[in-house]
Amino acid sequence: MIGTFFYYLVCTLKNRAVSAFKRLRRPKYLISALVGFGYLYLVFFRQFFSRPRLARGVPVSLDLDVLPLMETGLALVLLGFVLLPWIWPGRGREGLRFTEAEIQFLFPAPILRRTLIHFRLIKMQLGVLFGVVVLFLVFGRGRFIEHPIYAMVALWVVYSFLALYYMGTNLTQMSLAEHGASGFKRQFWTLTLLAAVVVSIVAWAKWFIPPLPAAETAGISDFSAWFIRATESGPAHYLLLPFQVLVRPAFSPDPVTFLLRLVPAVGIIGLAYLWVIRTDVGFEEASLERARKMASWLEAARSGNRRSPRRAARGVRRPVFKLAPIGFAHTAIFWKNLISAGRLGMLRILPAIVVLGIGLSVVFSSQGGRHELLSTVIGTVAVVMAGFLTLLGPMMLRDDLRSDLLQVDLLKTYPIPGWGVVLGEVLAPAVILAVVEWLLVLIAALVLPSLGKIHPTAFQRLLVGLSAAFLLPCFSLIGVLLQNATALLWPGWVELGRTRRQGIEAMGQRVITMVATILAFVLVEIPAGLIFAVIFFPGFWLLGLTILPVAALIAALVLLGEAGLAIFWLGRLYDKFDVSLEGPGR
Amino acid sequence: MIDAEGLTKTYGSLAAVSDLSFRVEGGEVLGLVGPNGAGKTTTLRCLVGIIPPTQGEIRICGYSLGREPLAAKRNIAFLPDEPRLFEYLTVKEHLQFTARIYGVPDFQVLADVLLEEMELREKADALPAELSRGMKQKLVIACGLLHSPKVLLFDEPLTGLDPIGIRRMKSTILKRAREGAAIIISSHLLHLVEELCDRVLILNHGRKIIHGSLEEIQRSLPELRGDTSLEEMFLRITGHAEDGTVMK
Repeated sequence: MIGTFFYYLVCTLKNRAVSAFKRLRRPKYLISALVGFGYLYLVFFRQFFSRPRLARGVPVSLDLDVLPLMETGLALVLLGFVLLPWIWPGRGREGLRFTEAEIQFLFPAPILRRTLIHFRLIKMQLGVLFGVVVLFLVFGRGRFIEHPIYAMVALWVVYSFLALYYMGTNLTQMSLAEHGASGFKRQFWTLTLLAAVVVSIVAWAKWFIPPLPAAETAGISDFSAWFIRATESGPAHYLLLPFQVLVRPAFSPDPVTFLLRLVPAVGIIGLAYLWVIRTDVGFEEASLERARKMASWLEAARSGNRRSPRRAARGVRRPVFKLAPIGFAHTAIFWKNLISAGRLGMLRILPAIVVLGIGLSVVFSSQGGRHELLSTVIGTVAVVMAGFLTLLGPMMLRDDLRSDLLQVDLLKTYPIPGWGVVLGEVLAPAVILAVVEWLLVLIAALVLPSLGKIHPTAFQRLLVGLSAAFLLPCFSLIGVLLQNATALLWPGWVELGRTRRQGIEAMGQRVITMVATILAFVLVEIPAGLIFAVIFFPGFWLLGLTILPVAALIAALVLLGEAGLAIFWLGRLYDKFDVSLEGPGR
Repeated sequence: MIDAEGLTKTYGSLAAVSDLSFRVEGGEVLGLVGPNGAGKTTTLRCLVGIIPPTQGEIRICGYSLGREPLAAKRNIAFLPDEPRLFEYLTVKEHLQFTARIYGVPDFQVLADVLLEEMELREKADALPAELSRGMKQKLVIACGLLHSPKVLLFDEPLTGLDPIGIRRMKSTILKRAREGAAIIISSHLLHLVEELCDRVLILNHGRKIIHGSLEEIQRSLPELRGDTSLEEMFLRITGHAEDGTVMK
């Protein structure tokens, strides 16, 4: 039977490759593929074809003091990954995801459940090996790590362990959902181990963490030493040990040590495999569905929203605002996209994180200098997040034309002018980004005591915060418009919907689109930047920093004007958009 | 109500629809039939403004689809064979959304009636993923009928419906026609076309082969007996009759 599975997987891979090559007959795919290969060659492959001395560069030789820090840090991250599916059920559910065709052909076939699990394991190994090869290309021949082969093998160990672990967790959670109270009995040892881990973490946090060094006098080495001491104290040492065993081969100095370290790491994978294979649970579709509903209900109950499992599983939440039947039609598209964004997991968590950040900021800002380190951390994170969202947020939030062009048949029947459709589509991501950016700016303005050597006063922080509040949402709006422009201009090159296309030509298309978007973004910002400079520099000489929000506001108005023009232009493009030539699947 | 004049849609050298002219009056049901690839769906998509015709003029309730697209579209409902719904909107929210798009002030009353008519009341808070294909189809129909359109275009309207749904769908179509709507039904189910349609337009290779009521078609083709079914006519006209007869 395993041979049959291999046949299926090999045929699938072969035919996928053939299809990808056939697609290259279309010029735009061919050009994109060439760009993709060029990019890969320049960034990754060149080192394999050039002279070793030139390519190798200077490998990062790991300082002996840094090694334990990296080892422990990675072990800690692994522990986090291991706890994640218990904190947030449903994470890593991919482990038991079968395609519809697989369900249709394999589930009714005379195949043991255990054999199906082996099939998934083989399929997962393909993914694991692909991931390892990609990382090998990235880290290359000693570009970053002295012994990349060791690192790659260790990476395979870690990936394989996590894949197996997530599958086991899935099966265990399904067993609990399926069997109710008797499920707890069946999974006694797993749950006991989990409880022991939780108790150990609580005990460690309460009694064993050593006090932090004083922020005013301590340096990085003091914090490193504190981190090592903290992770070796009490139960933390035993908690992290298995994960240290998994990552340790990566840091081996020689082949013998590497092999000696690899043996226990592979042993842990073996234990995980035995755990998965002995977890006798029916994972057919009905069970999966029940487990999903159970997980959703647990999630809802934890968040204080004790709705019925049936309702919770639907993921239906009340819309942000009530849509009146009469009014601007594009508001309906905005409303729809807000609902769509709100019903995605990320946006459920984001406001909670930001509100928590503001709460902490208010607490710390009222405590004077006592929590300066934490204030600095929170403030810096807020600034970095605001910058990150401004630049990358438009690429991440896709509840606009990038999603709706898949439904363009339906959109085109609506009696809405093109500019109205475009405006309605871009509003949701732009407004979401603006709100989150404003909250982040507020957090930073409240708590950030200093920026490097600059120690701004409260008034100066207010001025800078106000300016950022004017400008950041406009930058995001321009970013969202550019993303939508690429979708309308080159729908074949943009990934429509939420699924990402695979393949070398898709990578090339992504590179081209990203470069074009960045260039366009810079060009669009030039007029606003010039006007800002014209107002700010003489104004600063006369009035000081007070001129900053004025200059920012005028620059923001220029950007909004450009956005307005862009919406009308995109509206015309939308009106001319020929579904039969450019629609999905063309 | 629907007026197509010289409608042509080409893709490079391929003519999907070629110089097609016809008219559908209020209260009339036109059956659009033809073999696969005849140009039926392209015709419907041009009529509803999804794709622009290469040549020709389309008027909906007197409004030119090319020059006054918004006014024309306010009067149309297009009900495709494959239900297209928004993944994250519930049944009720779909109706609310459609009401705002078309500006239906008393939509709540109409929505309740439609939910009842389409047997979707119990699923009002369900997302599309929780609906069967037939229910999705019914939701698309409910959304299409919400703004009381004067022109209705159905592409394979019975796909995915159960026997009760089929009966209701037929009565819905006839009811709208009685109320004065101009209706086009594109379908391969020739008995449905025969049952519901006043006139039939047969397309092949993007060209109009024949257009008229069943009696008119029979009269225009003297080779046919008086009781020939639409299926028999269709097979003969498109050259697929069992005895190989092809009508000129």
